[in-house]
Amino acid sequence: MIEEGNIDLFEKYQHDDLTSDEKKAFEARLVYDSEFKESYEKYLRVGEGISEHYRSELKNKLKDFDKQLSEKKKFSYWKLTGAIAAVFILGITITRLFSTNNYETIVTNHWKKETGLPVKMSTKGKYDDAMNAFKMEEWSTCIKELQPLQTDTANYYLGLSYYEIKEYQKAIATFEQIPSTSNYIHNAQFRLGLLYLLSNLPKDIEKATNLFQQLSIHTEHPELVQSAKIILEKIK
Amino acid sequence: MKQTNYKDIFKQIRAGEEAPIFEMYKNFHKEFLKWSTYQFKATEDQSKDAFQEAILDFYQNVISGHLTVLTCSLKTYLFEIGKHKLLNIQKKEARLTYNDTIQLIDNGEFESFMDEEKKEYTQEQISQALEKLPTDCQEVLKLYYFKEYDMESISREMNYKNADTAKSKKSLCMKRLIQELAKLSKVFIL
Repeated sequence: MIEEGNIDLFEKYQHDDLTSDEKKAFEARLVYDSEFKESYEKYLRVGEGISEHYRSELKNKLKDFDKQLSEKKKFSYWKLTGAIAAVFILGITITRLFSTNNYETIVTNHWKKETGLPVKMSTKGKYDDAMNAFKMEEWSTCIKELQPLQTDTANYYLGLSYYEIKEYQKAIATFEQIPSTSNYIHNAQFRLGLLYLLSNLPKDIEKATNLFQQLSIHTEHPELVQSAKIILEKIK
Repeated sequence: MKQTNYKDIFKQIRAGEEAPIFEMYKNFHKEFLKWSTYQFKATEDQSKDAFQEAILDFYQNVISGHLTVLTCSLKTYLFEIGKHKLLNIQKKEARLTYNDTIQLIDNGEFESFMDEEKKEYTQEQISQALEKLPTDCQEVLKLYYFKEYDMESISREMNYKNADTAKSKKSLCMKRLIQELAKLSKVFIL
């Protein structure tokens, strides 16, 4: 405990405001009066504590500043990583968009319209209703008529109908069912190649490339050979 | 900053600015971290702590007028203090690891340990009591004990009439602080 009455005395001693005799008496008391000495030491320790308090305060400011520097560094790191990722994603998106647009253009330019099978007026054939719908571009009716027929011809026109309603996966599945012995095989494969291009997936582009390569060496369909070569040149 | 004359830094610090210490920290702390990690196998925390202490020592030495001239570069000065601070931190941490075995505490350290015990007021209590004082009291005590200003400088800084007024104010503030501490001690005992 620091006696309140002693504080003035301690202050005067500290600021050298005691007379020579008072100073001597003070210092002598520090020697013989242990309680007085202890009280003075405590008073001095309070002073040290004050200094320590403000030092800690300033140190905390330095610690906060250090944190800010680290966060800034982290932020810069994440900002840089983010920017790289953004550029990368943007690059991929643009490339994909560009190639998608590019492939779409190829498909649109090379997807030839079929006129459909002739429909006889005298006798009713099994494809008549489907072909009438095909010519009228009534795709859902056409699909409904062709589905039960399960022939290469039906499948070829079914694939074309699916393409028209943008059911590309169903079109692919349908064209893939046409056997290699069918009269429609080369046309089906050509269209299959175009449909693979539309998916824009690397594995499908590879499949399309293989198909167009095979078609480019077939002499039976010169128009397909020519188109396949042009497409191969474009997707190279 | 690296090109700034140390005398300008001294001037700014003596004028009461704290900005130079943050600038110094920003400029040198990474290098100190690298150097101390390599030279003394310091951890990042130890290194930062030591360098912050070095900066504070520098600041207190300049503001109190104990340091007026640098005979080496500012960086060398800070690194030298930082090195000693770091070695003390490492020594202290090693000691703390074994402080449950009293035999490992030598005489000097044992006395210092006892000194801590004899302290009537904890640092936390002193900080709490200080915060209860009016702002002008806090400022006077800060100027006297932390910045080590003389009474003349305090009176100038605080716009008091003269050094005697500053002295009376400081004395009054100390009394109030000790009263606050006494209150806190009673609360603690209860």
